[in-house]
Amino acid sequence: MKKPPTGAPGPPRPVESIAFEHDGTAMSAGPGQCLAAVLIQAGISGWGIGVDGRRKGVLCGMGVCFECLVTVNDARNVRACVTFPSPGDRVVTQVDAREELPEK
Amino acid sequence: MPDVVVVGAGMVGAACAYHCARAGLSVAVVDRAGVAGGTTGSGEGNILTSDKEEGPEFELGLYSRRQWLALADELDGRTFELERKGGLAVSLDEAMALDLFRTAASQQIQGIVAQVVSGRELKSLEPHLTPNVSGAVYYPEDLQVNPMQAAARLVRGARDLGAEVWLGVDVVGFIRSPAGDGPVRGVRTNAPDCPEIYGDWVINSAGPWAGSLSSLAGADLPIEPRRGVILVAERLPAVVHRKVYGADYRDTVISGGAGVVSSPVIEATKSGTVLIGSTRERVGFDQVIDASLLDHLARAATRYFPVLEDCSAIRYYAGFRPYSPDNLPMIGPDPRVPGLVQACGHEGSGIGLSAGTGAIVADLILGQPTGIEAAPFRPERFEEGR
Repeated sequence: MKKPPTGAPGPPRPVESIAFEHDGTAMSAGPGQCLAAVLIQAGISGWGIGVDGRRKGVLCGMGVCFECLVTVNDARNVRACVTFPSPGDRVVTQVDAREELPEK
Repeated sequence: MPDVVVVGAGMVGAACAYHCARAGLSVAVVDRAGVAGGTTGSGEGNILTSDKEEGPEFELGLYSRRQWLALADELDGRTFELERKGGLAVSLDEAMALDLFRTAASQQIQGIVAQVVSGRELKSLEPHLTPNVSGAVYYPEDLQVNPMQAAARLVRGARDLGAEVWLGVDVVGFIRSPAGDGPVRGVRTNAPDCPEIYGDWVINSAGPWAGSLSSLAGADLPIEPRRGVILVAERLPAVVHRKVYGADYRDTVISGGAGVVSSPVIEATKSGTVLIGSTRERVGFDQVIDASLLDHLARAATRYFPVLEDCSAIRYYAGFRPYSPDNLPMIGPDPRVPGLVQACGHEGSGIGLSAGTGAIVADLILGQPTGIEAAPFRPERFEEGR
C-alpha cells in the first residue's frame, strides 16, 4: 500500500513575517499569508481600479478569475489571491482604465 | 395570455422578445438556463458588415446594424458596451491581400465603407500590429457589444414593457389545438409553477438546440452545432484597438467542413482582456478541446501582434454556433406548423444579426411589411424540391 503524501503540494509557504509595502504603506505578511489575505486583514478590500472606475478585490479567491490584480515591482496583472509577498516587494494599485478610442 | 412565447433567452430570443413587446404584443420568455447561458455567452459580440459580401445575409447585416444603432439610442448602448471600434482586415500574405482588396472594392459598390489603409494610417489605427502587413482594409462601421449584457438589457427592456420571464424552465413539448397536428398554442414545460405557457405564437430562438426544439413540433430544421474556441489573454493597456481579422476569416465562417478551420480574430474587450479566436469544428456538443488548438490560436495572434508574446493567456472558452447548411438563418413563421416561428441558424453572426431578426419576426407576426425581403430566410426552404 502506498504511503499517504507527507506534505501539502504547491509552492513552499513563508514561515516568518515578511515586510513589504502597499501603495507606499508598510505592511507585514504573517506566515503563509497571501497578498490578498494581508490586504483584507488591513481593512483593504478593493485594491484595484476597474475600467468603470470602481474598486476591485477578491472574487473567486483561487486564482481563476483574474479580478484581484495588483502591480508588484512594476509587473502588472499579479493575482493577489495566489501570490505570497517577498521581502521588500512594492505592491501598487493597478488601474485598468483604458483610454477612449479616437473616432475615426 | 401572452401573444408570443419566446423559447431561448440568448441574444436572438432577447431581440425577438424586445421587438415584439415594443410592437405592443404581450410576451413570455422562457429559457432552460438563464439569459445568455448558451451560444451568446461564448462568443465575441461582433456586429459586422466587413465579413459579408452581397446577398441576403449582407442585406440582413446592414439592416440589423441599423436596428442595433436604434436600440443603442433607445436603451443606452453604454449599458451593453456598444463600441464603434471598427474592424481591420489584415493580410500577411501578398496573394491574400489581393483578395482582400477585391472584396473591399465589391463591398464599396454595395455601400459599405471599406478603406484600404497602409503606412502611417495603419500605424495610427493599430500601433502594435506587425510591420509585415501585405494589405489591410479598415471597416469603420463594424461594432462590438458585450453580448451577455446586451441580451440582459433587451430581456429587461421586454420585461419593463410587461413581458413575463421564466428562467431555469425547460420546454418539453408544444401545446396544439386540436391536439396532435393542430396549430401551436403554447409550450409545455418541466416547471411545476408554470407547466403550460400559452401563446398564439411560439418563437424558436434556441440557438444550436433549435433543431431539437423544432422537432418536438414535428418540423425538421437542419441546424448543427459548430464549436468555436476563444483564448483570452490577460488585461493589457490598449494593445489592440480595433477588431483585427486575418484575411481568411470569411472563408472560415462559410466553410462547411467537419475538420478544424481556424483564422485569427483578435480584439480587446472593454475591461482590457484580449480575445483571440477563431476556430470552427463540427464535434457535436463536446466541450473538451485539444490543447493544441490553444497553442495554434496563440501563435497566430502573435504573428499579427508580436507584443502578445510577452503576455499570459488566462482562460479559454468553447461555445456552439448554430450552423445552417446554406449559411443563412431561418427566420419567420414555419408553414409546416402554424403558430411556430423560427428565429435561428445564425452561425457565428447571431449577435450582429439578432436586432434585425427580432424586428423582422415582430413585423411578420403582426402581418406588417418587413424592413428587408424576408423570403430568403423562410424556414421551410430545405424541404422544397425534395
